[in-house]
Amino acid sequence: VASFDRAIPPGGEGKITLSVRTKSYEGAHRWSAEVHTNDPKMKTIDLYVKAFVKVPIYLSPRYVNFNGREGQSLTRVVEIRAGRDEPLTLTPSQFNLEGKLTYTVDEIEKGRIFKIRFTSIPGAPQTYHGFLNLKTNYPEKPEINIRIRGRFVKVKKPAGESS
Amino acid sequence: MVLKEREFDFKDVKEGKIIRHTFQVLNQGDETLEIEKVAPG
Repeated sequence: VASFDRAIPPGGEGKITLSVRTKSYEGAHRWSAEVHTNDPKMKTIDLYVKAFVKVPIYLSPRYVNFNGREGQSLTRVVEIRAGRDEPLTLTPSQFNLEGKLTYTVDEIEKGRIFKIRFTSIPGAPQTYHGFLNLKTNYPEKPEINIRIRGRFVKVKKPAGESS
Repeated sequence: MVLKEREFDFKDVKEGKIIRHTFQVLNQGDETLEIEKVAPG
């Protein structure tokens, strides 16, 4: 969001204020705004604000996407990092893609870094959406929701080959 | 138009906070400087 002085007299000073709501962001981010003026030497100019948005728990990536062909087994890994000094614990609580995916939770660095490894179960062409929920011991972030999307397309058989 | 800065670094901020920064714009020309639009990217 931006607010600004629309007209600044010769020799005068004006302001351009940029505001950013950091909800749902995490990690390093840079936001820009393009300023349009009547100055022939500077018709447009970009302004930037940047920040490192701290969260109790970092998720990377935040969503899981499987894109493949029927019968294919793919693996995707989500890394979870503690953003606080207190050791983090994770407990799987809900998973609604049984039969389509399997997952494992590996503690890479005790209480700090975890890797969730999702592997698709080979099957027919299909599309699905689901999630894995993990309970945590951080009261300000009691649950992590990892959303998962899968799209496996039919394999085209070469012309002349019967099925 | 003269800007004292084009970028501002808030460093570490807690998720959920609204961050706000004001850029100073100087008009060192002879005509009124008009800011027509500021389009957040």
